[in-house]
Amino acid sequence: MMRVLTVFLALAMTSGPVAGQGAREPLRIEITEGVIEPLPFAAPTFVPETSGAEEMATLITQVVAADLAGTGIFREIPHSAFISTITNFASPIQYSDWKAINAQALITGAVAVSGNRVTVKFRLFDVFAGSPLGDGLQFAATSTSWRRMAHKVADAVYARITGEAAYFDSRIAFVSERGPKNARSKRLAIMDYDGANARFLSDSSTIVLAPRFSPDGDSVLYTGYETGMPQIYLLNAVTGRSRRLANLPGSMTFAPRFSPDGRAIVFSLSRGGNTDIYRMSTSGGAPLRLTSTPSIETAASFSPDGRRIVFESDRSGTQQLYVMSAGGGEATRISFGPGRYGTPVWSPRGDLIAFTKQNRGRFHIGVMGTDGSDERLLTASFLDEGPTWAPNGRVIMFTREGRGPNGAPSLYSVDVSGRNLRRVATEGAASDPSWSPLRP
Amino acid sequence: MQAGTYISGAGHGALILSLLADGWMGASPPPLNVASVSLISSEEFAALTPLRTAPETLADITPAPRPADQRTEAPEPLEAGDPDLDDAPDAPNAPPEPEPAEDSPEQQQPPEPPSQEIAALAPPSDTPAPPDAPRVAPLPAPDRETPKAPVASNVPLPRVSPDADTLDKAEEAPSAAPREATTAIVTEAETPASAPAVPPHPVTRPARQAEEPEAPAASGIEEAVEAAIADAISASDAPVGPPLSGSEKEGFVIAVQECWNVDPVSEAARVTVDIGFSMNRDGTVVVPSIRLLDATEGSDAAIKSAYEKGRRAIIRCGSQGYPLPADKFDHWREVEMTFNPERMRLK
Repeated sequence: MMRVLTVFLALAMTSGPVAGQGAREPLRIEITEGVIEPLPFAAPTFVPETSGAEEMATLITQVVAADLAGTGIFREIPHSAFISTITNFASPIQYSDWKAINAQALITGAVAVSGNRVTVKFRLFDVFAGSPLGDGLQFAATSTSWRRMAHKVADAVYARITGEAAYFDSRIAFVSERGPKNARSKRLAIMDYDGANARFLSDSSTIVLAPRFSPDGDSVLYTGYETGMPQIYLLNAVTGRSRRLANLPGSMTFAPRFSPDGRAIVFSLSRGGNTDIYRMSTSGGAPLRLTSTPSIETAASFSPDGRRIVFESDRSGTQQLYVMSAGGGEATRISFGPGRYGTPVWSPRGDLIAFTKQNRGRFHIGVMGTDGSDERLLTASFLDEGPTWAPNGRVIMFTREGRGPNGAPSLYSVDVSGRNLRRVATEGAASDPSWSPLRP
Repeated sequence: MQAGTYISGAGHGALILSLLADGWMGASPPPLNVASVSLISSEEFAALTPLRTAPETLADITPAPRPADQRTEAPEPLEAGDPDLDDAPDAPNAPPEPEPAEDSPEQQQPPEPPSQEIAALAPPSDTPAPPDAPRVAPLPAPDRETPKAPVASNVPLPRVSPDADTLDKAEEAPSAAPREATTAIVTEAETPASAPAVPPHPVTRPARQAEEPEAPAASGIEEAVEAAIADAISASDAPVGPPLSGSEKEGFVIAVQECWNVDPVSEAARVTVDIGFSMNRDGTVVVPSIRLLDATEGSDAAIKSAYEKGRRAIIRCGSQGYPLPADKFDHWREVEMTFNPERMRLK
């Protein structure tokens, strides 16, 4: 009896595990809530590898850190909190020292100056993983381009951590303004995305409006008043030379914008009190009329694939947004909220349309889906207008103007989520920003 | 791994069945139970009573005589009421140590027996039965101590607090294998594939059979049972003990999500990733084990970023160890964590 019992026990013991082989299932957990906070990073001053490179190393480090911290996605840990110092670019990283100050990313770099040539190299480390994040990179340029090299480093860091393209090595075309509101001079200007290296592209003899970068970043479309009437011009940003497009006597042309391939433009043409949208090649030729209604259609913008155009129209009695084929035809209204909508711009990602909205005496910069869904207002002020997208489609720059006769316009940027609203540093008043693509 | 265990299980099952059939066919019916009852006459009881002067009071208190009578047939000093003791009478030569019987219920926890460590520490010059020796521990204790003698001086056998004692002394002894060996043995014991590959019993069994040739059928069954038990133990990957409670899981979730930094605007916020990793018993993460298991649609860069964010959260918040119950380690030794940013996403 005892034997039978024993065997029975044995069978019971064996049958369980055998039948349940591989029963060690992993613990399955789903995380659906997280935190939204800037990622803390440490950027010790880059190591000067040649004599005389100290100042350059400091400046480049500062620009890299400012680029990253300015996104709102990253937070720089002050140098005073550092436990370790980086004195040799090739030295191994003491991860524990950086973990102790909660640095999640560590940027180390070195700068060498040889004559007029500056070389910058950097490495990025994932501190808590205790490993490099990608390979080291090196940039070389003339000393006058040191800011670009710094932006390149920041771009690379940003891209490696976020998995997305950055926008630091880009430029802004804008209208620089001087004087009171009733007698303002307006000049075309260009600057780095952060306001540095600003320079004028035109003098103050004529009024200029609405500059728009070409997809390659070499040219700028704008509206000028050289003839006394608004006309479209194409400016070579390298040579500074400009030429008039759409030379149509008796007509006003304005609000131009490039197609994604840069071969065509869309613009508004006003003739006989009617304003419609036209399309034409940048190399010339007759414009193609895309809309033909008695209402005002303007501010056209291509989708990134070049197949569709979003524009504003008051055909419904109030200013709203519409989408139509890039070849013209039936347009679909996409904005239905209260107030008036204008200056739509398609996101480089293709998923959103930024716009200006006026409602109840307030102006807003907002975004919505390309079908008008999920409208989200990002700003609110006395006057916000003219959004332009960063090349990666997650930041919007726009014009904000204060109340009263002395309320000068200035440039602001905001994250597409509505966070990180900040003023862009410009020398004097500025308006009508246009963000260039990322520079090669 | 499972296939090996299945084969092992099937083989041992067949062996058990054959022995079982043989035992039923060949062994005589167990009259002992009936005989023992009939033998307990009042006279015998009276005769026994003077011998047990001390327990008299106990006899008065509890109706213990019947079980006691049954065990008179097997005069081993086995007294504990543990049902597993039913196995013990079949090993009459086993020393009267209570430890084997005490260990038997713990056999499903492979790392416990110190004899395991001894077998591992010993160089492979002895009979190659390291992984199975510990599992037979309850029965052939005297036989097993013989081959372990060379190392026994370094690592004592006592089964009290095996981890601390054995490891400390192993370090003291210069000739003993390094600590990694002990760790490796635990790993081998947990590897089901190694169990059936080594014939565990011939080393000890022949000696016992020589001493006790009178019960070949019983020893055969025993052997099969031992083998089955050993295999069951070694093959069992099933976690021991109750699973994590809801609050324990929730604590884990909260601990991780505090470090999961989501950028709701990013493309990575549109990607859900499954990340697998192993844990240490102290609640820390085995960082090299972190791996991407699966991801929803997205660009390579977005998937990589989503994975990095999840990995960073796992590592960062687990640097001091997650608040998980150590006694349920088998339930969270391996973790698959899904990072689903849908609710965080900017729509």
